[in-house]
Amino acid sequence: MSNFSAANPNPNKSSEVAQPPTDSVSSLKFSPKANFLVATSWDNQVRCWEITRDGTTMGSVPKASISHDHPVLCSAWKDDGTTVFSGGCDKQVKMWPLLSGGQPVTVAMHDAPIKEVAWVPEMNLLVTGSWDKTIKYWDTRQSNPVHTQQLPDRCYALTVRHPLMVVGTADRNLVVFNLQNPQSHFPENALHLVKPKERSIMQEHSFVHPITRCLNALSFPFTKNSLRSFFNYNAEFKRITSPLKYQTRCVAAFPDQQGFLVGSIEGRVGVHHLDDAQQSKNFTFKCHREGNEIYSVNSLNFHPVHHTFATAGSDGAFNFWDKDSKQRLKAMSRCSQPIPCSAFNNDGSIFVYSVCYDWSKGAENHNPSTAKATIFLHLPQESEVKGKPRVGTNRK
Amino acid sequence: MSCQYGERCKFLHVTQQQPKLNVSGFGAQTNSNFQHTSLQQQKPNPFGFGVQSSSLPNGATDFGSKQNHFKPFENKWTRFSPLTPGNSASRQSDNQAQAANHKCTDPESCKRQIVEDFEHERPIWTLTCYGHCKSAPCDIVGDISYEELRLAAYDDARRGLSLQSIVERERSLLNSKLIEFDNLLCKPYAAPLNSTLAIQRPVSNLDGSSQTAQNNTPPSASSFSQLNVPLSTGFGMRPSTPSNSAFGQSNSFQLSSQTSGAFGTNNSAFGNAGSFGSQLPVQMHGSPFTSNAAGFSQNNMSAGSKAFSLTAASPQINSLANNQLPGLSNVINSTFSAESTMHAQLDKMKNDNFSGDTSIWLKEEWNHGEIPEEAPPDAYI
Repeated sequence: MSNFSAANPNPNKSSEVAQPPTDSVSSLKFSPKANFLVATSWDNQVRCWEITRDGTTMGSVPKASISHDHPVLCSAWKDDGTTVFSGGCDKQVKMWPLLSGGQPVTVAMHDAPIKEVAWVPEMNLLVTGSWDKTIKYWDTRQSNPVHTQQLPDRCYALTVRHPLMVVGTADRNLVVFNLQNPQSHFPENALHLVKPKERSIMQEHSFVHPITRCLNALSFPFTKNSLRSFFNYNAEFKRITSPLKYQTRCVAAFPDQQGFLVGSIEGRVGVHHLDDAQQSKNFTFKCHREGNEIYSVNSLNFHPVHHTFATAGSDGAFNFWDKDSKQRLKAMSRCSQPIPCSAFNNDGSIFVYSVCYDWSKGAENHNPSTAKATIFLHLPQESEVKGKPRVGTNRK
Repeated sequence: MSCQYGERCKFLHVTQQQPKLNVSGFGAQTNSNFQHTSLQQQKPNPFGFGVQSSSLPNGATDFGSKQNHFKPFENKWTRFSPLTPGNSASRQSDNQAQAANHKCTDPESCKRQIVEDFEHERPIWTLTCYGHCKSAPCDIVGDISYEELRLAAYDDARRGLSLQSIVERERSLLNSKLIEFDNLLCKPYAAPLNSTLAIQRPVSNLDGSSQTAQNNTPPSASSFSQLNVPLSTGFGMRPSTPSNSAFGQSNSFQLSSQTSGAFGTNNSAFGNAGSFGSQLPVQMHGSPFTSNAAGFSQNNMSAGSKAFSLTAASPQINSLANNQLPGLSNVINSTFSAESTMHAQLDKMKNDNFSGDTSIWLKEEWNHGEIPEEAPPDAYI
């Protein structure tokens, strides 16, 4: 085919969601309790649909929407499925109790656009990541953040599976947090900073006294750098540089919290285990490439049941993978526009993805008069999302 | 099937090298569903952004021959086995092995890695950092993400810049970045100043001593210089909501916190606010949903509702709305922003109400019993 022909906008024959946003979609999230879908968009709106399914027939019913004053970049559902958090370029997060028909209220603010938001039910806290290089934790009933965590650079990606939280920032930093580590308690993972004969003292005091009393019980002098190390270990678990070579685009924590995936603009995904003993299981693989064109991986989503995962990219394709057997389970057909975001519903029976321009080729590829966003619903077959055993004799 | 379990066996018994992928039928399926335009007449974009079209370039006709590129896994777990260079079939895995095994012991080999990366691993998106050695600091710093660039474009459009000006501004950014990449390629390789990777990064400049807590080596020498794009009129970006007034609301133009630091906005504006006050009127726009099903309340769709409470916005930010930012100013200047953030936080700490003298935290060493019991403020960490 050498002539320009209209690209198939829906080569995977997915169902289209009704009344999609009027500009690109920045995030898609299903309720953890029901098939309610939320989409945030560059048209400043947060929309909610009810997704219905009758056999293989999908339907979508627009339910409600709210506005921000600027493009909305991220969203998260509360674990009870009643409330949606949305944040973005207005540097705020709104809490929207949509199930009860309540009004949204602002519950978080940063000094720069908020790129990521997550609700952590185990802590009853909201976590926000911003281009102002901080992570903030919020009790939604209070105006001040519970804690502000400095990042090495702007927050680009965030994933939480308590107690594991991984933040990807600009310039390839990946910061791993142990959310169980309260500020004032001595972190087990910092024991190596203490002289061996003092370790038992630290451990003895660790859950009783604030860390500073522990430190005062040690031999001195205690230098500033060591002290900094202690307090930083309190806040962070580990900071690593990405195993990928270019800009981080997305991260996803393993369901078993043993590690995380990281996706970059270079059509590559890194599989990283946290435990030093499991480093040999780390690897990276290429994806979302076409000939010499290397597209970015925009979204990583674990299947809630099978723990396989999907990638979606700027090439307009989405794929399903099994990291344990290192296979690609399914490559879906490329759509005519990039896929900036995607998500599974709570039981993995529905995979939603949006086809719209993600700015991966700059402003010159943006045509405001023809730009449109489509949201598609895909029903994954078992073969696409169920892990396949390794060939050979070794059992998993 | 010779296996004793026959059909019940949980394992795949295959004879081919790449069994799984073919078993799932993906190869055939993808081909049959592939109906994409082949943009043979695409204009190459000299600046690396790809082609000038609204759809992605893809070579439908090439897809079949490039099939191998869609099987990344097949070479992946051979990385531990010795690979014979020169074998074109395993070239990809060669790259993988080299990348995985590269150690920064010899600048020459680092250089080779860089050359190879720039030949085979140049992503479409150019406004990126780069590190040739995985898990090592960046050789090129200064990430700009899609969303950051897009927001800058939307902000510029709101201020009246034409699409052409925006494109030109982006191209300037691109050019600067390409120069950085060229420099890395052409000059002898010098390892970046070792970022402390760890822990001391956030505390770099607090007491005036500059630690080498930087993974952005020569920020002031960065090629991201001030880009003063003269504002021009003419282009109005299509309003994305029916009511366009939202765009004029407040200044959200920040590519990094550096801007907030430069204007003196610091955490104290929000952190010390006693409670949320409603300072900004809420712009409620009509719902874009024309048909509303029952179920959810429709309160939030009534225009003009001011029932929301907002955080107290900093007065400085409000005034920013009236300032004209000269287009895309310093895009990334992390050291500067770090410093200004630190200064901002120092200011905040002076205002914060601490029970004790916080200067204790500025000491270099503490003697037995000197460390206060309360944890130091975040900024000191």
